[in-house]
Amino acid sequence: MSEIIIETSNLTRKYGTKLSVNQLNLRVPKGSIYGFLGPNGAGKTTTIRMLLGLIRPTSGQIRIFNQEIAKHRINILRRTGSLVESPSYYGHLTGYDNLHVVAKLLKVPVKRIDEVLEIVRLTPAAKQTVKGYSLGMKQRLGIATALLGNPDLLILDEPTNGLDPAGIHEIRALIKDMPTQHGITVVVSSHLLSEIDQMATHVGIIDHGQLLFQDSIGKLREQSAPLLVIKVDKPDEAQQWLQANGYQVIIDGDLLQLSNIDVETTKSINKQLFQAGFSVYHIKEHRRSLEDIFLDYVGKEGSL
Amino acid sequence: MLVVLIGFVIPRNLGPSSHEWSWLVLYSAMVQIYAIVLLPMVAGILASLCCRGEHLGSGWKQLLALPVSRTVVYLSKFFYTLLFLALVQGLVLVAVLVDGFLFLHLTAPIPWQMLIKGFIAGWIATIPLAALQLWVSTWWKSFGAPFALNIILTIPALAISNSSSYAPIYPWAQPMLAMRPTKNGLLDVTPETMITITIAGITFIIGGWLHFIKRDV
Ligand SMILES: Nc1ncnc2c1ncn2[C@@H]1O[C@H](COP(=O)(O)OP(=O)(O)OP(=O)(O)O)[C@@H](O)[C@H]1O
Ligand SMILES: [Mg+2]
Repeated sequence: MSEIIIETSNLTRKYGTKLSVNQLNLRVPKGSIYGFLGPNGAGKTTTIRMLLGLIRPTSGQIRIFNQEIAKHRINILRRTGSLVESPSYYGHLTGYDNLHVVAKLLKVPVKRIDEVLEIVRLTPAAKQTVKGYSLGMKQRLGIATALLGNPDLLILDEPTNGLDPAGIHEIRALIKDMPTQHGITVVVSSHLLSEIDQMATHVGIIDHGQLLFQDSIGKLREQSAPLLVIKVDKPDEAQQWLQANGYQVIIDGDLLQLSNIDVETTKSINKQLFQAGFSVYHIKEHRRSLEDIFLDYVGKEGSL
Repeated sequence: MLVVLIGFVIPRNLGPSSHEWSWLVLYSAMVQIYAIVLLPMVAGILASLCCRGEHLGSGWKQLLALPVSRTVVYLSKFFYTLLFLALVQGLVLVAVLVDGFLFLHLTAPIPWQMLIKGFIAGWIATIPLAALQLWVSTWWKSFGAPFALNIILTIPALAISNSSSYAPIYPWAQPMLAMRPTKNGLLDVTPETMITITIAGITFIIGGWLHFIKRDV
């Protein structure tokens, strides 16, 4: 069993009477890239602000590195790098000098600045003032800042927000390297499943403040296993006949659905139904995308 | 900058004199305007400036997600506000001297005691006001709102400063009272004023600090 880095129990936050985060039980395993996924207003930023001690939970607990955040905030933050919303900088200072300011606060040696610039591939632009940085460069500088203190945990809130595809790709590549190259556990929030799908090892889906799914990305993918959809003349009888022959069948309207199907079974089911006297009008394999599954979880009104 | 400039302009018409009162007259004239209007404004502006960087973008979030204690952050903001305020006081003192020598050609000996006491007392008397301004500056995101509040609260001070019953308990009138030369009490400040300054100062410092360490970021 791998070690748990972040563990929340019944984490709740209210604004007025509105529950922004409701009884969240997060488990982020060590060395994972945890994709924290949810539509706009789901409660991702609120949760992350609680994880960083920026706001207090209304109720519930947070343990990071096995320490209670309410009691050991500074110890925890010493081992945590973060990027919440688009970071702000001193525009008139260079990228290097901006890092220098934080390095002093964190009391890390100045040579660490060169290291983090190298990691985010910003060394060539280090002596340029931040005013002239592109959005992507600013975001990478934000990640560099988060890495300054040699963290064991990186918490990034929508780090690719507003970036173009090339910028998104760069950030994603950076994040993917974190556990393997630097031994860092990453929590990254997003409202795009496709993005999480390409880098996460674990996924938590949140909507209306509630955690709807949490497991490895593999478990989520299993749910996207293909379905066999069959249209026949007498669906009720066909269902009974198939069940009698040992298949798991559900009826959806006048369609029959079978899960866990491969090509061979498809062939033989088609043949058997025909021999049993059913007319098969239509038979097809239906593969649900991860996106479909995500939408099933968050309801169709979820913005994507 | 502004303060120093105004220091040059005000007492042009006092008439050059070598009389021993001349410094007192010059000082009183400058202090009238400076202590009641400019000093409170400067205190507010300095407090706001100390928080400006953090209000831009997500500065507070970035700063407070670092392993720093909120108390240390708040106290260092307060320390810098007071430090710059002391610097401004020093500059204005220099402005008084320059004004006296260069423009009014005062020949009477400089009343160091009175001047230095006045400026130190003025600085101390501004502490409650600075504390309150820092409180609202960390609270309100805008640069303008604390400034507006400051101006609004400065105006009554103009009227109140001549009232012996209300002036000592109104923070915006205190710098004026403290800098006004009187002959009694510690640093030329009446005990009443001193007590109010202490109580108001402690209240605003603790209030601002508690609010800052508890608040949402
Ligand atoms: N300071 C606040 N005051 C009142 N309500 C708030 C506040 N902050 C957040 N909320 C509410 O909490 C809910 C969750 O907001 P949150 O910012 O956590 O969502 P999110 O998942 O980060 O969304 P997005 O993808 O848009 O960033 C929203 O409905 C929002 O209106
Ligand atoms: Mg958000």
